[in-house]
This record gives sequence, C-alpha cells and structure tokens, in this order.
Amino acid sequence: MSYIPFPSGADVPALSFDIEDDFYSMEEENHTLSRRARFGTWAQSRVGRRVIGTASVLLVLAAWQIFASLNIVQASVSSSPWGVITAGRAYYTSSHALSDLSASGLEILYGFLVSLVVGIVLGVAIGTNKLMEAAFDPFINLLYSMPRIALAPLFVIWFGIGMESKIAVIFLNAVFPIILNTAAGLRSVDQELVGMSRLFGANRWFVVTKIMLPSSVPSIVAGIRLAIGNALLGMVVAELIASTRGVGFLIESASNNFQTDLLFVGIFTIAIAALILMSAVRLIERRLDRWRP
Amino acid sequence: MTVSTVEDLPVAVRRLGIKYHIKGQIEPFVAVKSVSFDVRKGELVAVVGPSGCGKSSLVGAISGLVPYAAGSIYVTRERVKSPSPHLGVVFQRALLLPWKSVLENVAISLTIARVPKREREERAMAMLKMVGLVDFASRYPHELSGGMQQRVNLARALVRDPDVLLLDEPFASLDAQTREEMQEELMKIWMLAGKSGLFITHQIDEAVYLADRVLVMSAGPASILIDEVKIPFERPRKLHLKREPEFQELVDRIWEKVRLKRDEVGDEA
Repeated sequence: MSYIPFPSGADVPALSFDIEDDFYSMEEENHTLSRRARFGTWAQSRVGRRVIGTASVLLVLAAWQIFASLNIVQASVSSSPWGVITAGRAYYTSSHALSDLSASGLEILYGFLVSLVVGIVLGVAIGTNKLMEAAFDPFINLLYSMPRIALAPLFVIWFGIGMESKIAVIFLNAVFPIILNTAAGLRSVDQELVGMSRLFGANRWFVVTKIMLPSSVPSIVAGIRLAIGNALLGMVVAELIASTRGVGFLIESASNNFQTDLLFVGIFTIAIAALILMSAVRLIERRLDRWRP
Repeated sequence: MTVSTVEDLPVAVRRLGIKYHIKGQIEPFVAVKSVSFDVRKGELVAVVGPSGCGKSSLVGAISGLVPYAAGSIYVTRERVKSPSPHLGVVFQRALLLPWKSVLENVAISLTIARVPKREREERAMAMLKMVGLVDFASRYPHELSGGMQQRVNLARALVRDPDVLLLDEPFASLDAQTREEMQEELMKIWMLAGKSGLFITHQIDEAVYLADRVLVMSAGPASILIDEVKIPFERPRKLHLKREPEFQELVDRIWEKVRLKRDEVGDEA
C-alpha cells in the first residue's frame, strides 16, 4: 500500500496530536476544525495534558498488574500495584511508618537547611571575592567531581549510625550545587546595575542582598532543585549503609526479607517526597519571581 | 576656555587625565589626556565627540566609579573620590531593577539612605508626576516602553534632589521620534527642576538643542577638549528650533570639529 496525501482528516496515517501537522484542517475556519484537530488543541491544553498523563500512568500500572497476574515470575519477586497498595496500607497503619518518616524527614530537613545556609553564604563569598574563590577552588573542584557518596562510610565512623551521620552525608551531597549555582549567578550579575546602586550610595551589603541575590534567583533555584535530588540520594544511601530506622532502612530490610511489595512502598514514598519538595520549590520560585511576565 | 576657581561651581574639572591598564600591555592606555572645564550654576553643558573619544571614561570619573590618573574633579566643591551624594546620574540604559515596581525603582537612592517609607514614596511620587508617569507607579519596568523607562531613569536621578545632574547619552537607545519627545520633555523638566547639568551625547543636534554650552572632545586616544560653543537660543526652546538655519549652522560648525582626526588637532590643551 502506498501512502498518498490523505484526502480527509478521518484516516490519517501518522498518530499526531500536533495541530500544525494537520494542514487540511488549518485551512478551515476555527469553528469548523476537524475532530482530530480539535483533539489536538485539547491535548495541548492544561486539562488535556493532565488527563492524558493520568491515563498513561494508569495504563502502565494496569500492564504491571496484568503481568504479575500471569505468574510468569513469582508474585513475591515481580510485585504488583495491588500488592504494593496492600503492603502500603499495612505499613502506614503500623508504628514503623511514623518512626521511619520522622527519622528520614528530620534528616532531610536539617541536612537541607544547613546546606541551604552554608551553600548560599559560601556561594556569595566565592562569587564576589577573588581571594575566597581561589582559596575554596581546590576543595570544591575535588569534592564536586568525585562521587561524594563514597564518604558515607567514613561519616558513619565519625558520627555514628544515628541521625548525625545522615545529616553529614546529605549536607555533603546537597551543598555543592547550591554553592556553585549561587556563585555562578552572582558572577553573571549585570555590573552596570551594581554601578547604578553604588552611584546612589549603596554599600557592599546593599549591593549583595538587594541587587546581586535577587538577580541570581533563577540560578540559585536551579541549584536548589539539584540539591533536593542529591539530598534524597544522600539520605537513602546513608540509611542503607547503617541505620535502625528511616525510609532507606525500610528499603534495606524489605530487600533482606524478599518483601518486594514493601520495598516498592519505600521507593514510592521517596518518589512522592521528591515530587512534594519540587513543587514546594516551584511555589517559592513563583513567589520570588512574581514580577515576571 | 574659561577656567575659574572651584568656589561655588557645581562641577569643576581640572587637567583631568584618565588611564587604563590593558591586559598584556605594559604601557597604559590613555583615554583622556588633559581636560579642564566648569559647569556653572543652572547651566546645562553638553559634551560631544566622536565615538571612542573617552566620553564614557569622563562619565565614570565624574561619577566617582572610575579612578582617574591625573588632575582633579570637584562636584559642589568636594573633590570626587567616590560617588558624590550631590550628583544624580541618568544612565544610557535605564538600569531598573526588574523585580521592583516603578515607584520603588525611583526611590532606590532614598531606600539606600534609609529615608522612612512614607517620605520616600511621597518624594518618588512627586518625581513620577514630573515625568508624567503617576499612573505607572505600581507597574514593573518590563511593562514600560523604552521611552517611559528613560523617564523613570530621570526621575530616579532627581529624587535625591542633587545639585548636579549627569546625563550619560540618556536617549541614545530610543527611536528618533521618542528621542525628540524626550528632548522636549527634558527641556521642560530642566526649567522646572533648576539644576546644573552635564549632558554627554554623540548627537550634535541634541546637544545644541538642550545645552547652554557645547564642549567638543577630540577623537581618542588621549582625548582633549578642542572647542567650546555657546548656544545663544532663549529657553524654553521649541522643537521646531531645530529646523531654523541658525540652529543648523551651529550644528554644522560643531560637526566639522568632531570630524577632525586626532593628529589634526594638536596638543594645545
């Protein structure tokens, strides 16, 4: 069968939601758009994207459930959406959930807050001061280019298997993107804006806090996004190595006991935490950047 | 060239020399060789010259951001070593903080000086009224046209009530029509505000239209002042003055000077 240019919008060969592909309907007036073109515009709309996204997730979950019920591999190995839900319900009604979530949550909170403060302060120092930049450069280069997670066992020796070693690992993972992005943001600030404020009498503190930092918001937020991913990674790995509670500990013990369903509960918990943190960052960013068109 | 004592002069520049060190070169680059001039009270003096004649260096030095190698600069009798509080600068680019409202941008020098919020909003509002932007006080800079942004730039320079206004090619980035409107606007504001000022530009007709005196700088490097032209027209001047033959004659006379090459000028500074 040879492809000839399709005569009507009804039987098109390629599956595409892009309205611009559909040049036959483009010639028509808007209100007489073909069904396919109308679907295309809907699919690009906010609601349309949500619906299609949800549908595709449900499709994958259904496929997983069907695969599990075919018993090609043992149910305890493959796990299944329903199995994960059952295990999740059991886990979240037990006392373990609160203990694990509070442990991991506090580790992330403390580790991330310290990273944020230290990262921005060091980033400002490095981004505005050549001496600081030269002094910190070797450490940052070395630590940033190496897999810092390799230091986690060392921190267990130094800080024990409690919360302190996790906070240390999280800090070491999360602080670098914040330092580097803050410094890069400050370095690229419009120097004429700085000159303008100095002409109107600004001192160094005003220049840094009222001109340079606000100018660097997009760059700092990009660093914070990376830092969240790194912080979660640090938390999980640190808990895998040595711990008595936490979501990483949950994953580790579920794995040791071949409780695949429970293991997925841990994984999804972390994934959801990551999503929540990312949307929190987006909210803060929107608030800081509300002047943007 | 009239060079008197610095007493009571809003701006006095004496044998000013500006040099830069360029990476990889031993000899410093001489931008301005030896320049002397005054701005008298209530006077608007324009400085014109070909591109690369050291106008920007002059602005940097007078504003106190660029150190100068020789001579001296006085703004209201104080020697300039750092930015002077008696100087208001209107920049070539509007340089507004995009995350601050128009009102907050106008008030920035008052914010820096920790003037109480109410007072600084009142004063900024008065400036916005003068430049005709009261209705835009709560807008953000990106919502304004280029001409309006330059009005904010002007209002910001005036809000601190400086004795001297330094205008650094403020209309260079505007289209021809907006530029003429802004020149006329500045003419009105100038009469209202009663400041002394230095207007840097490469547009000769702009200089002749706005200024009481036009100083001509030679081509760089090592620029000097090569001429001073008094502009006799009465204020307020209307835009159609630019179409008069006397106006054109003055513009042509200055134009001839600006076109001279550096080696045709000599060193009579």
